[in-house]
Amino acid sequence: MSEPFIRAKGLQYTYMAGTPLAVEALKGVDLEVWPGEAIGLIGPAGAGKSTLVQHLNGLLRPRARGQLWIDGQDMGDPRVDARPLRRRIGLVFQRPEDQLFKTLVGDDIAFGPRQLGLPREEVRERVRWAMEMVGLDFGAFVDRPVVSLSGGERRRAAIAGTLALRPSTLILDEATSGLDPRGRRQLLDLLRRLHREEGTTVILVTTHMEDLVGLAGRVVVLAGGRTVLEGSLREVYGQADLLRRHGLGVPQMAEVGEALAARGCRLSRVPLTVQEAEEEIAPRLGVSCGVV
Amino acid sequence: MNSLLTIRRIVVAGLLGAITILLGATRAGFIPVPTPLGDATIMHIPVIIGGILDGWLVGAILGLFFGIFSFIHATIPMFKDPLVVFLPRILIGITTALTYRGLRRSNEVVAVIVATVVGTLTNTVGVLGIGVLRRYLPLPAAVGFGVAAAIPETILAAIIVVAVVLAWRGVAARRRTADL
Amino acid sequence: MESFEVFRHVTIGQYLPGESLVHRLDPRAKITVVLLLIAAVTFSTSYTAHLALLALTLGLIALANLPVRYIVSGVRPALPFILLLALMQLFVYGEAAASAVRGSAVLWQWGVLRVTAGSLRLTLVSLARLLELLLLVSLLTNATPTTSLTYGIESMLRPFARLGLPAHELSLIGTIALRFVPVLGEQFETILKAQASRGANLRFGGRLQFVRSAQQMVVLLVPLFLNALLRAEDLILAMEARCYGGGRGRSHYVRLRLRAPDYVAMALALVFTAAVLAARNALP
Repeated sequence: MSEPFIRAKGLQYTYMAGTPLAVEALKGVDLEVWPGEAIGLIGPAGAGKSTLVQHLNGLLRPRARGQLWIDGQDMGDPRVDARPLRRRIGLVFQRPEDQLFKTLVGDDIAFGPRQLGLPREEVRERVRWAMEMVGLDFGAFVDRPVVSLSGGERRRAAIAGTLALRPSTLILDEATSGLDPRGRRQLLDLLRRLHREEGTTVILVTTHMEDLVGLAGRVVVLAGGRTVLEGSLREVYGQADLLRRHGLGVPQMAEVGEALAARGCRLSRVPLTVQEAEEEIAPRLGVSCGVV
Repeated sequence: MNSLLTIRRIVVAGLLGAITILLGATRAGFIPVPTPLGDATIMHIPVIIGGILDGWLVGAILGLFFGIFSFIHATIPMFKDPLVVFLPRILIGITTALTYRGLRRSNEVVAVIVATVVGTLTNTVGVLGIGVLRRYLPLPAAVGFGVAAAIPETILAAIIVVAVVLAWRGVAARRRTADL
Repeated sequence: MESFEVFRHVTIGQYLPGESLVHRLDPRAKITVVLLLIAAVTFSTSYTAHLALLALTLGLIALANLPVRYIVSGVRPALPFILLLALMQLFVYGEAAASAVRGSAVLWQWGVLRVTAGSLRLTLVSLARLLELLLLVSLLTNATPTTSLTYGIESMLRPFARLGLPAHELSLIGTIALRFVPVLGEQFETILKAQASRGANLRFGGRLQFVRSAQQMVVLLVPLFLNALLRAEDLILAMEARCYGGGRGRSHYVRLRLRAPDYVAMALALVFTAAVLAARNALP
């Protein structure tokens, strides 16, 4: 196994340090991300997830204490220029559609690649690829004015703008918020595709643990500015008490499993999806799956 | 309901006014033009946008905002003079709106650009002009500062105003298709 | 990155809470007093008037328990410019400053550079005005909460509503603007970070000089304006849905009442201003 692509040790960060309004957002975070991984980052509001994630593409830098290495570079060293890093690590914020500024969709998506100085044909190809990945038909949407798009379409256009940079790592900070279930599913499918087909390292910050199913191999739980739990999805799902204690909601199916166990019926493994729960419970009821 | 100040005008003036206040609060001034007029360099942009999108009244009100916040934050005698500060700024919105209305029939983009230039110059020439009349500045110095400030201010304003107005209206500048 | 947090706390000047006489005055009285005194400051050119005005404004600031040093400290970065402009005024407006009668005496000459009584007066009066206005504005921004001010302004404009001036609507614009400043400030921060994350060539670090070229500004300002306009559309819909009908016949929750100290303050200001303006040319 190679070196971790991202490595944080005791990472700390204080907003407005030295003023009476100082807020310590990160109190000591340890994190390792290997190339090609897909991990989930969860935690209650105010846990420091956004702060952490903004360190991962160099927007924020470690100051006094804590260390962070990205791709072998010490991010605490002020001489390190984060800009090239941001082209390889794409960070999508919570309402990415707020970043749209060109009149036409194609122009906005092409912004990133143009900034990279790529030749015209390659820019066009990247825009086409990015639009296809997010489900916006190239022919139909490339010349559309941004203001004529629906909210969901705008979000997809914005994500395409980041994808067009072809980052090797993609970080999404609660990018599913505000999306309807279908939109959410489409986005998660996109991430799965990127992870499997392109080998993109994916870091998904979310408050919906259900989003991580079928995507994240590992989950890191952040609370109060610290890493409090880490493990596979099933391991973390199973720690309902710990999750609750840190102000996190427990996934529905895990709660079902927990309730059953409390009544003496322990399932063989923590169910991640409704289907898994069905498969576990149905035999015990003496019925076959699919029967309500 | 006041027929002149419709809900739309109230709200747009409010929101663009908020941007004006925000720009005024970031006192470093966004363009590193080495003149003591750093304050005014982009606060005129929301005024111009308001004048173009919603008419002379919104423009005038935004100009008043511009005046108020520029007055509050000013630390140079000339900019702390109400006559220098308010009159030209209120006029920005009006001249912009009238110019735009006059030209839009021929060409939308040209109308926006010319209106922006007129608006920016109303600000620069107006402020410096009254500054000279009130004897804060000798004429040659005023002309010097004026030219030094007006050029970047106008170019920047034109670029931004055109980008905003066209993106908002869904109108592309030169081509109707993306530049790919 | 700390510099970006500044946007969240933007107000018109920092309100410094207190219980002084000035703090407790009705906002309308304060606005009236300040406006009158601003007129007095702007239109007087005599040394006597400005000595009196300086004394008065400093007295008012003291009465309000406001820290003079803090208020005046904002001038510091501009000092070189102030000096430069003052020197220009001093030497250039040799003959034609102030009134012909008082301006002609030459005080100092060195080649073409000439300082006259007139240009000296002009320079000193300009500087005095700066100080006085700085202090007067501070009486409103530092000693009066923002909501009081907007309420006071609306209340003062209300009588003109009968003549067709849309007082309520105008003050609503102010209220909307102030309410959206922190929201748009945060939005700007988000845009900044998002654009930097998707390929825009923005440089971080340095105080507030994070924007250096037209393209960078387009990338930051255009989304900001578009966002503001989008929010405007939502607000317009919301107000229409609630049948907002303007200010006519509207009742008010908060009632401002003028009391004795308010009347006294306004009367004194009126008398003072009238005196100063009437005696414009009579005093040195």
